[in-house]
Amino acid sequence: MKSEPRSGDDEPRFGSAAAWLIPSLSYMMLVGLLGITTKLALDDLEWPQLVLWTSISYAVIAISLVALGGQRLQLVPDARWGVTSGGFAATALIMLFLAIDSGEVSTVIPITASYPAVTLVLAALVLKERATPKRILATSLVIAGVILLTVEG
Amino acid sequence: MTADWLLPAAAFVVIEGALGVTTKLALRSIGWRELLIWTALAYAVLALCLIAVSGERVPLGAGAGWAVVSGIFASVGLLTFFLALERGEASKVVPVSAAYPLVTAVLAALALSEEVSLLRGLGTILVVFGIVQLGRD
Repeated sequence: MKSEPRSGDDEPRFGSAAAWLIPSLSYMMLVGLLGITTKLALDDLEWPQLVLWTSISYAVIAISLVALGGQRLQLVPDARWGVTSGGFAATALIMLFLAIDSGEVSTVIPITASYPAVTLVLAALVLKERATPKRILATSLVIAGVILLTVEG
Repeated sequence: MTADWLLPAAAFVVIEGALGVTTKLALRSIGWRELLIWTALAYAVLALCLIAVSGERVPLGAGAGWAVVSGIFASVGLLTFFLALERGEASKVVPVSAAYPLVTAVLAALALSEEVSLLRGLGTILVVFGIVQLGRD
């Protein structure tokens, strides 16, 4: 089955917060679990080996999508953003590992938690999303909370 | 002298912050399945570079099981992130998604018996309150 491209609007398709909030909270849960399993894996493995296993998992998911859903890569002009996003995801992971490798986790992780602020600014500039005072305050609360959660390592 | 970790940490903040925006831009033209394939390709290139440059090998045995589970969580997690961005604004989805240390803290307390301090309790309250506000915005 082929996924349908978006028409270009930024409005939620399902008209309620649940449409984006449920997958966002699912992501939060899965990546939260990832923190535990990664820590358990790193008891015996080095981080480059973990990158290899992560790459294999992505490859299996991608091959499954191609095999089951007949998904194909389209080289439409805006596929460049897909390529850029893939490159960013992989590069960010390497940067995080490099930072942790040369610094203390208790210092690095709280600092890296500030990235939603970058998204907030870029989303307003590039996507023309509303940076309302409520949204800025809520994002600040999440960042501050995450820093408190991670500052003790 | 600037700490060695600061440059890659700053690069992570900028790249990860930009990722939410480029993903949203990508999802205007392609579907989340196709985006997942592009991401898998990027990781495959990364893995091949690691193998070519440093001679890394995929280890089996102790630790590999948790690595496989971690890989599954990472890839399914990314899938849900794409679904969220397909349906909601990047400036709301990314902050909520970034609250995952809350889950790690709770699970670490339950599964690894790590301490639940006053600071972590306060952090939990701030994160939950922030998520609720973003959901209502």
